[in-house]
Amino acid sequence: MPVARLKAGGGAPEVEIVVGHLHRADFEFWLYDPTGANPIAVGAGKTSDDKPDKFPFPKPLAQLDGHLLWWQAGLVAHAAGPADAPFSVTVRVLQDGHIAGLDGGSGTMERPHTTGMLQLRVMP
Amino acid sequence: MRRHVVLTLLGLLIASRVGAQPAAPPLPPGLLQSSADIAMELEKIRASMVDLAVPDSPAFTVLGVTPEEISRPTTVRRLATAILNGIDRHGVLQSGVAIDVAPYLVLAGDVLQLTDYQARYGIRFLSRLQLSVATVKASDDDDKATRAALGVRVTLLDRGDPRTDQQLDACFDRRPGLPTRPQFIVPPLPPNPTLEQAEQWALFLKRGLEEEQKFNAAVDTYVEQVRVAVDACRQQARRRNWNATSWTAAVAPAWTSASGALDDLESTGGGAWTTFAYGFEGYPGLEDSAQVLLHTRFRSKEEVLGGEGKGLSTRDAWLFGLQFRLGTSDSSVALEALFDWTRPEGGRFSDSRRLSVGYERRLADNLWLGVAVGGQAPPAPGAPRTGGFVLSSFKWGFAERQTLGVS
Repeated sequence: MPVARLKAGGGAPEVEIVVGHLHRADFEFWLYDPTGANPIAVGAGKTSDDKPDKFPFPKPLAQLDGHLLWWQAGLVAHAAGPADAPFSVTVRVLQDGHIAGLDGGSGTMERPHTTGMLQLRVMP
Repeated sequence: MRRHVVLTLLGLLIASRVGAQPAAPPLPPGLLQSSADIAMELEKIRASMVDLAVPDSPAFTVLGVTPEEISRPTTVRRLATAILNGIDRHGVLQSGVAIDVAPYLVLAGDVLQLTDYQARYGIRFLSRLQLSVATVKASDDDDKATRAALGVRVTLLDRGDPRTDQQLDACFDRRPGLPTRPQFIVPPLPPNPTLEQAEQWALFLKRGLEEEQKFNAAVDTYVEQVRVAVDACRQQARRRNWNATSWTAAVAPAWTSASGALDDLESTGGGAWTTFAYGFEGYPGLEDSAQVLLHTRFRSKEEVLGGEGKGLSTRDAWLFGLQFRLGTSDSSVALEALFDWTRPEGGRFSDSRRLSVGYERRLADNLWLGVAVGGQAPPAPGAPRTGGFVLSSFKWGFAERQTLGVS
């Protein structure tokens, strides 16, 4: 499982989604506790609007260690294309402008949905 | 059911045209040849109403080929493979290559975001750029000779671009929402776990996998529901944008290599096309129902069949076309004027003018009925020009796609 390594003394982390291949996507982020339960909403939206696709975590940095960030994205292509047309989704955890962790999903538009998760570790 | 009726009707019509006797079911033999006959009918329609669209794959057009298998790579790896398959290790071109690719999407697709595309013309231009490559065996007797062409097609303007269509976006917004997230997920196994930790993790694993199974089933349903909703949105957009303003252009130089080797290529003409389509946006009564097309093309050293027994010869040809279309995305009437100038190799330019009226109607998804009446006013050699048009053709037939206009 990908790990986002956050600095305990750093700024508040954020999570961001980037969708390639000119597709649009609906997406959502959830924060699970270290046992994989009790999900809390981090953020949700669609990449086609003017709102930023970047969200702060709903818990203080010090409490994030061991938590799991789970995400899903449902994609749409504006024009019908071949079933093997690729899609690409990148999810990144940012702290102080740097990438602390990276996850992503790719596949074909035959099944335009992808999901993934990252473990958050807070390093001293 | 409707498609079956249409196909049966098509079979009967074609059978009667080729002399076969329509018979009671089972279907007449003519239907079995329908694919070949449809192609023939399509050619006849095109003889009356010239296709004023810029070709999607100009390299294929300039070589006069319709490849059965076209490589359309969508990843860098597949693009590289397609190119490498076209040239052997000695640098000799392989015939039968047909590649059609949007290079910018292939190379930069992973990071190309829709919002950037909508905001920046440069990204739209590059993303719409289409390259085509084709090779064929040359028509002369030399076994090794190969013809090759490289086509570049650009869309300079497209007001019907689905990626910038806000109504389409609004329609997509109404599609089903994402499946409900799982209640539990599987956490990673702690490093060097104690027995107690391992047992606990096994429980987390069990409940996580159960949730994952439920979630995957919900995703399957979501994907199917979204597919239906999205298809409906696209269909509405296609109907709405059938006559949108657009401007496209393409060039396709061609070469021949006598030895078949890549470094032996010599220029053998090519083609250039451009079409501007105006959709009367902002003019009530016309913006949904009319379109004017201006088209011009130039073909240099175009291979054409000569008269009886003359075999292939080459010519330069320039064509200017003007078309006015009225209708909907499913049926339209078009009035077309064509002016063309041709010059056989070593000869002089001659010109001709044609007027046609065409009608076509969508019968099913991939079946169009077309009718065209054409008149021509080329003066006989040495005869005085009368200025009148004589009815010279009445054509009808079926096609697998729309032949009038550019949509």
